[in-house]
Amino acid sequence: MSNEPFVRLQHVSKTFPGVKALDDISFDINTGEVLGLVGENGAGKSTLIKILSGVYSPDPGSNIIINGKQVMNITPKNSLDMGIVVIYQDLSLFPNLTVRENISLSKHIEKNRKTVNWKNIDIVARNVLDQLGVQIDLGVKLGSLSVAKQQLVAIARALVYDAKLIIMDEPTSSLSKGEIDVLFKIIRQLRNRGIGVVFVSHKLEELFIVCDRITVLRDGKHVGTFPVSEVNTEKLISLMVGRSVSFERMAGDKFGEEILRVENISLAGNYENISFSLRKGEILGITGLVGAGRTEMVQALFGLNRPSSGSIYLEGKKISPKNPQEAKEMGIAYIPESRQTEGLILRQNVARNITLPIIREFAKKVKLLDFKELFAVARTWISNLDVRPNYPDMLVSKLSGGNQQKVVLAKWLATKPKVLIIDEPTNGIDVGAKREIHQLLRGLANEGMGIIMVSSELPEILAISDRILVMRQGRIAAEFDGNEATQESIMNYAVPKGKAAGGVI
Amino acid sequence: METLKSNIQNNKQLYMLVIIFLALFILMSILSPSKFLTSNNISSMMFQMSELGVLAIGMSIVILTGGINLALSHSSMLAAIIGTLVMQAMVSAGMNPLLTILAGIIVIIAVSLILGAINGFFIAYVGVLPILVTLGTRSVFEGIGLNITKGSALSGYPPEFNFIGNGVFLGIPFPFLIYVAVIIVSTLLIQRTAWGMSVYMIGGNVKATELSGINTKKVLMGVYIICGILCGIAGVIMASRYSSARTDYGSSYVMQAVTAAVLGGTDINGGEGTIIGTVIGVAILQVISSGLNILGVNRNFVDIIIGAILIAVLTIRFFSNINER
Amino acid sequence: MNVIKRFYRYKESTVATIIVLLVIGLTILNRTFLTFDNWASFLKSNSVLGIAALGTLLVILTGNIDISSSGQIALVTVVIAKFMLAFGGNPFIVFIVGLATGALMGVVNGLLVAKLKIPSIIATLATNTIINGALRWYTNGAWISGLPDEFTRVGDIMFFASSEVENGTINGVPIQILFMVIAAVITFFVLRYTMFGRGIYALGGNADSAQRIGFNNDRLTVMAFTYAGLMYGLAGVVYTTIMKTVDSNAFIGFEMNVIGAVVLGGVSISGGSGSVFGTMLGMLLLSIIKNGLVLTRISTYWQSIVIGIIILFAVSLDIINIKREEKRTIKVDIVKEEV
Repeated sequence: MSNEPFVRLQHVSKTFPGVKALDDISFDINTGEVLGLVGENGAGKSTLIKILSGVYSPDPGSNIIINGKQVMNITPKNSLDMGIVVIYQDLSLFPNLTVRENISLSKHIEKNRKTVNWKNIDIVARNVLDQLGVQIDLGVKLGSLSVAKQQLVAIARALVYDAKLIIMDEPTSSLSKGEIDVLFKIIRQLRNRGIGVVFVSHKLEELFIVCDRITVLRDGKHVGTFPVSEVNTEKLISLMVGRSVSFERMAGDKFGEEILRVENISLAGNYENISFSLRKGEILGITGLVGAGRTEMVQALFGLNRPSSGSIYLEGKKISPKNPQEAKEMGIAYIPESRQTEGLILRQNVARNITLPIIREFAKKVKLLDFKELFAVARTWISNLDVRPNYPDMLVSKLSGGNQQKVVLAKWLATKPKVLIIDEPTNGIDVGAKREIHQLLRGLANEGMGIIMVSSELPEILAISDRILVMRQGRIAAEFDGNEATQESIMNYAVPKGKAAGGVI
Repeated sequence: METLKSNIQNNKQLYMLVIIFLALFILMSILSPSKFLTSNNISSMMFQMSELGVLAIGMSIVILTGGINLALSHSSMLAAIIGTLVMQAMVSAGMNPLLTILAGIIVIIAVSLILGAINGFFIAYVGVLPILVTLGTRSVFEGIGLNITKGSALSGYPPEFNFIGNGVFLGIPFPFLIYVAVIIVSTLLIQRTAWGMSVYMIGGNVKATELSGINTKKVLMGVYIICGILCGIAGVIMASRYSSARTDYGSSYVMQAVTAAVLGGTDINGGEGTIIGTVIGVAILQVISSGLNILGVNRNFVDIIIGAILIAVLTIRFFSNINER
Repeated sequence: MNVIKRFYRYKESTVATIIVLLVIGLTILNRTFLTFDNWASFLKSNSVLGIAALGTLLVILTGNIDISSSGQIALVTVVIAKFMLAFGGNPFIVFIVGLATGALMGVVNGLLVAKLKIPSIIATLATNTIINGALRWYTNGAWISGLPDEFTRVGDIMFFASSEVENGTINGVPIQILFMVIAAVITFFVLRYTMFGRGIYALGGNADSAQRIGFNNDRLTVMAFTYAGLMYGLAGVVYTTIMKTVDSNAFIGFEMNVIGAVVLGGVSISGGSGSVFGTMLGMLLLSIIKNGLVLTRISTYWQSIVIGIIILFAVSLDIINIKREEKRTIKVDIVKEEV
C-alpha cells in the first residue's frame, strides 16, 4: 500500500438551484481502505457519490485529485477508467441475463468486441467469483437470485473493471444477517488486495465492524473523518444529528377523542404486528430508517395493501378499505412521498390537480362541470395555503417543490379528511417552505384533524409530532412522547441492533 | 404571464390547424375551381368525412388515456354485420321498416358496446397493453364477421335505411348531422364532465390519478365502451352508405383516425388533446384526399401521403420539443 | 417431480406441452395429420411465417414492436417480381435484391424509432400504411405472374428426397423449410454469439444499465429493425418461390400472425426475454392449429378467431403471472426478534 491517498477531495462544493448540496468538502480516501460514509438523508452523500462517478460536475473552485493527478473534468467514462466503480442501490444489472454475462459483458464492450467469446465470458466470471470465494451458479438468470447474491454479482462486475475504489450505496439494506457477514468478508478481502471501498450505510453498527475510518457529513458539510477506534455509535449519532437546521417546537395541546385505531395488523414482507391509535388534533410522527416498512404500513390505511391479519377502526367503526377510492370516501387522505410521480399530474394545471379528488362535486346540471365553481374552489385553496404564484391555470410542473407540495396538500384538504397521512412532507423542499408546511400541518391538527406524518428527518419529527413511533425492520420499536424524545433516543431504536448482525470478525 | 402561456400555446396550435385547413382549402380551390369548389364536392366531402370523423373521435378518446384501438373498423363492421342479420330477418318477416331500422340500429350499437367492453376488460382489469389486446380482438372480430358473411357483403335493408348514410336533411348531408351531434356530445363528455377530466388525468399519470381516489379501471373501461359505441355509430353510417356490411369496410380508417388525432394535437402518449383538434385534423385529411382525388391523383397515393403526414407531424413535434428545452 | 418443476421454469415449456397435446388429439381425429407429407406441406407454407417471426422477435426483444412485417414482405415480393421481369431470374441476385429491400425498410423504421423517438407502434403503423398504399397504387391490385423459370424452379427443390416419387406425394424436405431452419440457426447465432445480440437482450432487460455499461442503445435499435427487415426480405423471396406469382394484397393482416407466433413462443412483449426456439414453437403451434382446422374440416374463417383468442389468453396469463410475482416480493426484511 502506498501512502498517497487514492482520492483527495479539496474544497469540493456543489450548488443546485436554491440548495447548497455540498459545502466546501475536504477529505481523503486512502488506497485500500474501507471508508464509512454516514449522514442523514440530504446530508450530501449521494451528491458526493455522483460527483466521483462523473454524473454531476462540482462547482468551480473544487479540486479533486485521483491517484496523484488532478482531474479537472470527471465523466462517467473516465471515472470508470480510473477504477472508480459505484454500485448503486438498484445495482444496474440485467435480470434477464445470466450471472456470467452480467459479470463479464462489460469487459467485452470495453475491448470493443463484435462477437461473444463464451469461454472467455465464463472464465472471467469464474475467476472473479473464485477470487471473491463466492459460489454462484454462473448459468442462472440474475433475476432468479436473491438480492444478496445479486449484490455479490455487482461487486464481481466491479472487479472486472479493475476497480481501485468501489463505492457501495446502502449495500446491506435488503440483506439478511448471514448475507451481511458474507459481504463483510468480501469487503475485507478487497481491502487486503489494495482495493478501497466506500461504504454508505444507515446501519451504524455495521460500520464499526467493517470500516477503517468513518466520514460524517451533515447538511452538505464535512463534520469529520475518524478512525473507528476513536468513535462509537453514540458519538456518530450526535455528530450526524447535530444539525444546524432545527425547528422550533410546535406542540399541540387540545386533543379530542380517538379517531383511528390500528390493532395488530401484519402483512408478510411488509410490516408485522402494528398497533397504535390517533386522536383528533394530534400529529403522530412515524420515523425509522428507509426500508423499515413505514410507507407500506401507512399505505394499508389507504387501501393500497390489505393486511393479512389485524383490524383498523375509524371513529370506532371497523374499516378495511379495498382501494384509495374507498379510503377517500371514508375520510382518509394519503399524500405519497413521491410528489412528482405519484402526487401530481405534472402536465395539468393547478386547479385541475387540486380538484381531482372532489371532481364529482362540480358536476351540476346534466352532469356538466361548473368550471366557475371549480376555479373558485381552487382559488380558495390557493390563497388558504398561499401557493405562489397564485394562478389556478398555471401548470404544476412550473411550480417550486414547496408550492407543488402545497398543491398536493390542497387537493387532499379539499376532501375534508378526518385523517391525513403524509409521507415525507418536506422531501426536497427548501428550509423556509418546510417551516410553512409544518405550520400548515399544525394548524390543521388544531382544527381537529388527526395527522400521521411519516418522515426520515428527525428535526421535523421532533418539531411537530405530539407522539412518535419508531419503526425498525417492519415492527414498531419504540413509542415516545413528542415532548421528551431526542434525536439520539430515536436513533438508538431506529438502528438495527448490530451485534447480532456482525459478531464474526 | 406564465399562466396564460399554456392556454395560448394550446390555442395557437388550434389556430395553426385552422389556418392549415383554410390554406389547403383555398389551394385546392385555386388548383381546381371547377371541380373542388362546387356544392357537389363539398357535400360529398361532408358525406365521407362523417364516418371517419366519428371513428377518429373514438380513437382520440382512447389515445388520450395513452392507449390505442387497432380493432376500430372491425368492431364497427362486426356490429354492422350482426345488425344486418337482424334487419334481414325482420325484412323477410315483413315487419314495419321503421321498426326494423330502429331494431337494427339498437343491435349495432349494443353489439359494438359489448365489443368495446371486451377490449376494456382486458386493458383495464387484466392489465394487458392496449396494442396487444386490440390486435387480438381485431383478429377475433374479423373472424366472427367472416364466419357470418363468408367473406362477401351482406345486404338487404329496408329502402328507408338508405337515408341515414345518403340522405340530405335541410340541405345538409344526414351523416354529417350525426357527426356534428357526436362532436357536441363527446366534447361535452370529455371536456366538461368529471369523467372526462379523469380521462385526461389518467393519460397524464395513472398512478397519481389512482392515488387521488379515482377508480381508474372503471374510467378506462368506460373509455373503451364509449369508443365501442362510436364504432357502432360509424358502423350504422357505413352500412347505410354502402347498403351493405363486410368485414373489411373501413379498414384504412384505423390509420387515418390515428393520423387525424395526432395531427389535431393529441399527444400519442396520452394526457393532451381536444376533440375539436381531431375534428379539424379529420377535415384537413378530407380536403387532402378529396383534393388529390379531383386532381386525378390515384386513391392509393392518398394513403401514402397520410402516412407521410403522420411521420412528418411527429418529426416536427420532436424537433420543436428539443428546441423548447 | 423436480424434473417437471425444472421443465416448467422455461416459458417455452407451456407451448411445447400444448403442441404435444394438440398433436395427440389431431392424430386421433385424423390419421393423415401425423404423416411426413402433411408436416412437410404445412411447414412449407408456414416457412414464411416462421422467417418473419424471427425478424419481429429481435424488435420485440428490444422492447419495441413492429407491425409493418406484412407491408415489408409484400413490398419485397413486388420488388423482386418486377425485378425478375426486367432483368431475369438469377436466384442469387433475386435473393440479394429481396434482402436489400427489406433491410432498407428496416433502417427507415429503426431511424424513426431510435432517432426521432416516435413510438414504434406509430412509426411502423405509418410505414406499413405508406408501403401498402404504394403497392396498391403501383400494382393496382393486379397479380404479377410469368416469373422466369430459372427462379421458380428453385421453389420445387427437395432435399433428402428418395429416388422414387410416388403418385404426387411430396417425398422430401422442401427447400423453403430448409430456408427457415437456416434463418433460425443464423438468428440463434446472432443472438447468442454477437455483441449485437447480447446488446439487444441487455437493452430490453434494462435500457439505462445497457447505456451505462457502454452499449449504444440507438444503434442497437436501428440494427434490430434492420435485421427484422432482412428477415422480411427473405420471407418475401421464400413466399415467391412457393406461390410463383405475386399478389401484393396477400399479406394484409399477416403481421397479426407474425406477432402472434412470437408472443405465443413465450417472448415477453416488454422486451429482454425470449428465444429463437420459443419463436419456432410459436410458429409451430399456429401452423398446427391452422392445419388442424383444415383437417377437421372446420371453416378456415375460424382461423383468425382461434388465433386471436389464443393470443389474448397468452398475453393475459403473462400479465397475471407478473402481477402475482410482484405481490410476493418482500419489501421489508422483517426480523423474527421481538423488541
